[in-house]
Amino acid sequence: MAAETGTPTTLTLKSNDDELFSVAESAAILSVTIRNMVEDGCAGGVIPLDNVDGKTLASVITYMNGISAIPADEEKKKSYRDKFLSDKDFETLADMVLAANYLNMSCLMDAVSAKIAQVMEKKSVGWVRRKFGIENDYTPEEEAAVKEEHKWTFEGVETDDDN
Amino acid sequence: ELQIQILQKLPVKSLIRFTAVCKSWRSIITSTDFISSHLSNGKNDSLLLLIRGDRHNILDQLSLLKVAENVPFDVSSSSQLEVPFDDGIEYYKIVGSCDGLLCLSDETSRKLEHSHITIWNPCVRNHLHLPLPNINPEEDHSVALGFGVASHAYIKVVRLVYIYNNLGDDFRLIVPPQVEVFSDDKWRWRRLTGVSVTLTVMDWQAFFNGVVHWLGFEPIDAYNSRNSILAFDIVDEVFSEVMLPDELASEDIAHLRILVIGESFGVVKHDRDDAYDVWVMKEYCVKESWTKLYTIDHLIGKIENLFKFWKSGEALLEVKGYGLVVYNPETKMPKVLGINGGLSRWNSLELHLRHCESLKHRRSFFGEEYVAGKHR
Repeated sequence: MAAETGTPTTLTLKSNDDELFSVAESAAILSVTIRNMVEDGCAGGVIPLDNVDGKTLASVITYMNGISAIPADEEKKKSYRDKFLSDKDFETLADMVLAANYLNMSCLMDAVSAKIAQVMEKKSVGWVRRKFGIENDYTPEEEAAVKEEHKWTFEGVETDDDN
Repeated sequence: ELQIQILQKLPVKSLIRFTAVCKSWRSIITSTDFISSHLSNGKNDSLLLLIRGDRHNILDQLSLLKVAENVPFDVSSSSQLEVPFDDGIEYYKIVGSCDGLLCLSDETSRKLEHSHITIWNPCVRNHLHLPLPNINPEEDHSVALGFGVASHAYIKVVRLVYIYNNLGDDFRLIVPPQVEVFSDDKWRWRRLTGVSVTLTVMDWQAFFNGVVHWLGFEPIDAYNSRNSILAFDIVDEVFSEVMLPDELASEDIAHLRILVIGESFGVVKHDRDDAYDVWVMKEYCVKESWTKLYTIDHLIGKIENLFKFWKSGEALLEVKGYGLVVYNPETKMPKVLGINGGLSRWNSLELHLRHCESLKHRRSFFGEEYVAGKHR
């Protein structure tokens, strides 16, 4: 929509909670999934994205517009990505990694998973279980043995009061 | 799966901690596939392990330096590691490093009752002692060791035992040496027969292209000898010879050191005037391709040691009074890193490069068997 040159083609994307978004085709085709639909000629009407909710899709479109406005300069793109992700909490990042995977956007996927890794790096085992929804299947004895074996890796872990 | 992609981006310390999350995470993180792709993905920082011995060569201080991947060489952080072995091995020599593992030995030319060889992964902070070697002659002998990881999978250590010829005044070492090889898949030493090595090698090695290399010499007559390079392919377990250029073949072997230089391997020659000539073999095993790249001289102080070439081609030196110094051959400028400034009072310092933080070695260092305590 913001594009000023020529007559840009605009696509309409629909989230799984029925929100509609307009986005320039040139930005939307950063997603290989969308690009394939466009190339197959099935992007005439509304493109339904069944695995992405409106909140996440809004975020992804902000990213699409932002990154496609930057000329081919990897440094600038990287700093845009860093800035874009800097204020996102874990839940948002987790939604985005799923969306990036579904939309097949490898640059976003890489950046988000690196960001998640950075957020996780100093977190406790309990934090990781909660955030990833993982059930602890160790017996207390087994868990204690694993922790004892690699005691040094538990130094410098943050306390779990934030996200 | 998406979780794996995220885990791949974590540093080793976090990964090891997260083996406690659940059993499936532990089996993912300790799997061979995960470890080897983590090893090749680690492109953010490189690690250098700085090892200092005191004047008695006792392993004294270990610093782990993080080096930013971008040239020019710069250290982004440094931390101290504890010496991890308290079980009776005191005199350590670094045999070599490969895939993030270090091989250490307390074997010297002195007669020891037993020689201990230890493989250590500083990132994972695990180590293991190899079984005692089999070849332990009664006579005075000298030992050279080689270390490598075959196909990124099996640890191999090769041990060359030369016996002194104590006849009259002639203190030469007898060739061929007796040779045995340790491989961690079988977990034992195995003797190699039919070895036809005529070179006597120095105990400093360079592991390159799956082949261990040592500088060696062979007497021509009573006064002269010829230098060459002995090569041992750790997969095929065969010896061969790599020829030196004539200028280096006739040099005093004590002035030479073999090193890996970027994507090639080479020899550094140091002379009395404190100049270092850097030679590389541009095409492996082609004698004519030996080229003198450049000479390092007239630096800010006396060069005590040239121990490593960084990927970018910069040389890492120890300079008297300045400690660790990086020399850029293009600008010819030395850069003082400000680390371990008082180094020169130490007798030995060695530097080992790891391309990334690795989880190696799968089997005995981090795998299920280790967790189960088999090698404890």
